[in-house]
Amino acid sequence: MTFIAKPKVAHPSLPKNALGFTRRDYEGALSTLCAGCGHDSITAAIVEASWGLALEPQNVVKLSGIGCSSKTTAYFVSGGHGFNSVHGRMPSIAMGANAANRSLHYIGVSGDGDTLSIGLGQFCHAIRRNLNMLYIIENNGVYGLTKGQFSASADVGSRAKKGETNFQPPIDAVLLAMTLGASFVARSFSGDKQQLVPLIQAGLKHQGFALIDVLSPCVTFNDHEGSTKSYAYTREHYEPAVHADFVPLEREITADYKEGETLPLIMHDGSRIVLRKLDAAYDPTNRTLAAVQIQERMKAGEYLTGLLFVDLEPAKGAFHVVNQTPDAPLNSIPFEVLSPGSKGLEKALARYR
Amino acid sequence: MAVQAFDLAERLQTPVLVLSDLDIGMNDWMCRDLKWDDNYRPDRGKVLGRDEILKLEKFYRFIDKDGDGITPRTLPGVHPKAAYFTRGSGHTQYGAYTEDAADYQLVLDRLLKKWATAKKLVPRAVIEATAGAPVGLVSFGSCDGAVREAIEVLKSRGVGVDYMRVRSFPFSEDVERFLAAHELLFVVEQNRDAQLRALLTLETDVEKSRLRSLLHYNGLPISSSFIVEGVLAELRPRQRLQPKGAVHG
Repeated sequence: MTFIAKPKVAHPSLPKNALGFTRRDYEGALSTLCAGCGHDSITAAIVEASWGLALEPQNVVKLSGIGCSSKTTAYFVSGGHGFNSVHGRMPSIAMGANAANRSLHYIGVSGDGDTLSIGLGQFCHAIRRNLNMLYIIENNGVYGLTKGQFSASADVGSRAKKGETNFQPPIDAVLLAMTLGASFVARSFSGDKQQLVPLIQAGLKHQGFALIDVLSPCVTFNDHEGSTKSYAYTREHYEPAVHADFVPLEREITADYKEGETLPLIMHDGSRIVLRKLDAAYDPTNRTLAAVQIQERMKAGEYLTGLLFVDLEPAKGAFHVVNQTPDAPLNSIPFEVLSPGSKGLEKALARYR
Repeated sequence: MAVQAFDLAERLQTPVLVLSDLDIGMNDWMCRDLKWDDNYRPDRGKVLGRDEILKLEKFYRFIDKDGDGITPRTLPGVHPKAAYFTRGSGHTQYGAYTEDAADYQLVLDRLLKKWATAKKLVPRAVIEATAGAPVGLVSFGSCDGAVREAIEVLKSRGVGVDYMRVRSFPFSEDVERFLAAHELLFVVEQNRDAQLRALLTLETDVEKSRLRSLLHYNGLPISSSFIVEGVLAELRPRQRLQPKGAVHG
């Protein structure tokens, strides 16, 4: 693969965020994915979102499984630790890392193969535990890395590159997450940065499990006539239902947001998500109605996108709340404080006598 | 053992499996009071702290400085210089992506060094050598109770045997020494295919002919009489009891 390496020197006029970093400081290694891959656009959106939020790069933890999408964690925020785990097992790594240090920002990147087949079990339980992380599915309907087999998100009747038809009904990550009680569920498209960047920012800020299922066409194996996840098909059937703007604490909500047309939601740290309905009939705060709407539009072949469901009520069921862990990260607490010692053991054993 | 397992996992930067069995895990056992050593401190292994990181010009994840095969790691959230990417594919000593054959082989060779280091760190075998008997029993795990009882019974019949309870894989160095010191060894285990015996033949220099299997695998826990009968059948053919479905290989 030939390429011209980008020089490390940044032009002095590049805009800097609150930490004094340019967007270049949130980039990673050069992508080895195909030219035109949707995943690279999502990576760019993550870079933009992280820069905009002024995240400390070393506090970003990038987790992934196996697949083309899982490769992308090397391509953003090189100042953060990255862990490319085994296939479908990213949630358990996220669980362990988060348990040890709750103060970092966890971004899990996965694919429709990694999440909806081999990783289906771990995905469901990460949602049940309301693990505080942003989980991005880069959804192209195929196993791209292994050259184009159908994944579990492939639609009935869709055709593979060599012509085989898929007959098995798809698993939809958005509907699944809604059923499991996820409190932040969104769908987007790699080609719509305007919608995707604020979703990523809101998802990173959300205290609990945040899912974004991003349609991300595979230009090599699933971009042909007969695919329902191609660029052409997605653009034709793409229905933004709710636009979400992420407004950090420092910025005032401007007069552009007219009362009655928008719904501001206040997050735990005072920043806001301002929802603007693009589809008058859609209500992103009612879980049951939202699920019904999504399914009905799916039957008509439409992808509803945006922040499809959000519940900001302080996460009673969040992992650290339920387990009553202290605010300080567990890995910062000295062993002498963590261990109940021999006295604690004697008390515990007494219960068995 | 769980405590030790965590320490080893962090020291060796390798998954450590604690092997138990259904009998231990599901049934009620009488055991001695569990004790905790208040002086115990966890071994977090080679983790570079902030001060050490600041002294580095650059952090490279897989450089083995002291030859034990274990390379220092860093924790997220400490300093951007310390960040590294754990890859799902081939990597160089520096932690970078590679498809170079020599780089890849270097990594595999280092991991073999780590395996050799592990042999020195894993739990040693528990050995009870009586009067340097020529016969030894080798076993592990929940066979222990039956083995001990069998040794007492054999002693009362005038047959002295030594006992080694293996506690880890890779085998620690004392395992090889015990095998070398006995003319005849009975490997007592509760599986059909003599898995421990197979590992001993693969990993040590012991001659296969000196290893006899006593295999108990009918689903019930092994008994001391099974072991006694198996040993005596081999040692004293004229005095052996009629085997009742006793199997040995």
